[in-house]
Amino acid sequence: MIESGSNPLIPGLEGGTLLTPPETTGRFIVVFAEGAEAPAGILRDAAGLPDVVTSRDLRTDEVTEETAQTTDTVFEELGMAVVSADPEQLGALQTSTKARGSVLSVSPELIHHVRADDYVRGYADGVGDLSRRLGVSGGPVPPAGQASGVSPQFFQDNPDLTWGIQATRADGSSFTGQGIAVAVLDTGFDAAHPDFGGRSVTMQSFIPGESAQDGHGHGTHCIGTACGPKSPTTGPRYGVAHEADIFVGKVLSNGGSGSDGGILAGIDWAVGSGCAIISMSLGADVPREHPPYTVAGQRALDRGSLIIAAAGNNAMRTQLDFGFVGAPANSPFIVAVGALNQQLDVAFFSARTLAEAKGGQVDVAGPGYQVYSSWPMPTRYRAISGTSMATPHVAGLAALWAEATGFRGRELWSVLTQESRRLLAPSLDVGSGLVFAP
Amino acid sequence: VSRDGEDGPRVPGEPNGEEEVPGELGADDGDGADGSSESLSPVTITVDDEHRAALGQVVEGLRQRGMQVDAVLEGLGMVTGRARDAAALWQVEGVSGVDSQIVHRLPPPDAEIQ
Repeated sequence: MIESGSNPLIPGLEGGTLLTPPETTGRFIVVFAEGAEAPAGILRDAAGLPDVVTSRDLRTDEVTEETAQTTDTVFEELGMAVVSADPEQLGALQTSTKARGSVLSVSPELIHHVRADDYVRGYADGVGDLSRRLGVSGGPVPPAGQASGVSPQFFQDNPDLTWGIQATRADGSSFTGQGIAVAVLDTGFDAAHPDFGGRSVTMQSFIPGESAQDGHGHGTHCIGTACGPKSPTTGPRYGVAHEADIFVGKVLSNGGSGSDGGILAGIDWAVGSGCAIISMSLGADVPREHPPYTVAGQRALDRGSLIIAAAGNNAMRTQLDFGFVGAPANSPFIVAVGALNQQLDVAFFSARTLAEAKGGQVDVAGPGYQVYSSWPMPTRYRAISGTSMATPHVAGLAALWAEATGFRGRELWSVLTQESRRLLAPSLDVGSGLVFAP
Repeated sequence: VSRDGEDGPRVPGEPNGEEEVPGELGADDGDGADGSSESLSPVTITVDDEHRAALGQVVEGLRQRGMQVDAVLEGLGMVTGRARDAAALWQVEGVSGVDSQIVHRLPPPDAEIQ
């Protein structure tokens, strides 16, 4: 991720983005481990810094320009300190037995400026961009994937992995979703599918007169993407959270339809079953927030369940119709997922943020074009497109994050967006970008 | 979210444009809107936080005002069912939302985009 040219003395700074090396103050920032006891004592005993004050002292005393510049200060709420130290003392902080386990990092204090040169830089960028557009100079505009650090530019299914598993880096994750319950509320599941032998699967139908067996296909496809196996009986890996516990809530009939009553009952059941993630590849093209889903999303979050829903397929971008996020995804407490194609561009059908509704935005994006996954037997596998297919990618990835961090509810939502990879596509269409595996 | 003081803005039975949603339900019936106006329409009741612990009482109140209760969702503090006069359900103490149910529909299994 760090481009070549990084200054080795200042880890974490991407040298390629700065015209000049960053200015430093000569002082250093010490970051203490969480729960490290008596940071001031560590600085004194390990590094021989005698006059360390805490930020609490500074708050009560008069802070002068001079004390702020020269005093070694511990910020207790942050678990950090700013110190003047020579190389020997710095070395001792990182190696001394007294400091062992208590000091996470020591790095130079940087000088930050008001960006007075932004106008000039912006002008230069503008001229450069115009030149490229007019074909005056050959500087290529970086394609979406490259600018976002994602490569290659065009993902393809290969014999081992679907393109979605590659693009989200699920294949490189050491997390599996083990111990995480994922509910998929859809058309049910083909319990006889050979790829799910030995898995923990709990099935419940909320459709009167129909069992949870999938008579449509959509549900089996979504469950495959979210929770399918690491090594299917044949063909490439298509599932993200391959050891998650699967909760199948049938809320859409074999004919593919269902109403709020069954969907809310399914959410209630999933929350009560302790599902950390509730994946809903369903919706209605209603251009306003539907209040029951606002409440349900909020109360589910309160109970530690994150609802992830499809933004909708009502766009026809080839005709400049961008559509809108429908219900339930347009509720503020439900994650709305847009669909990407293999070039990480917005899929032509993927709905755009509904500006009129609070919470009507697309929150994140996932692979949703020509997605290969499980289908009821005897068909076994099928590739289809839709925000319905992007949603279970994100649900499976959320299960990996839940396992990796222990986060639930709002914290889990936060880490998903925080760790998603920004794309060049408008945030109106992809939100925080492509969700990555931990 | 909806609180006690917010009573009134969403009454599906009132002629305020909300009829569009039940209209989708009517389309499902296929017999035209006239036939469905006589029948019970599916509703979702949201119970406010203060009354979630006493959900049973709220349900009883809803029944008394003519609601046929399909499910009591304790985890979410909601009640689903059918009612002829949805506006009347607002009068039950503890109700913070009365909404018509929406129908969600997938394309057929053989569609390329789902």
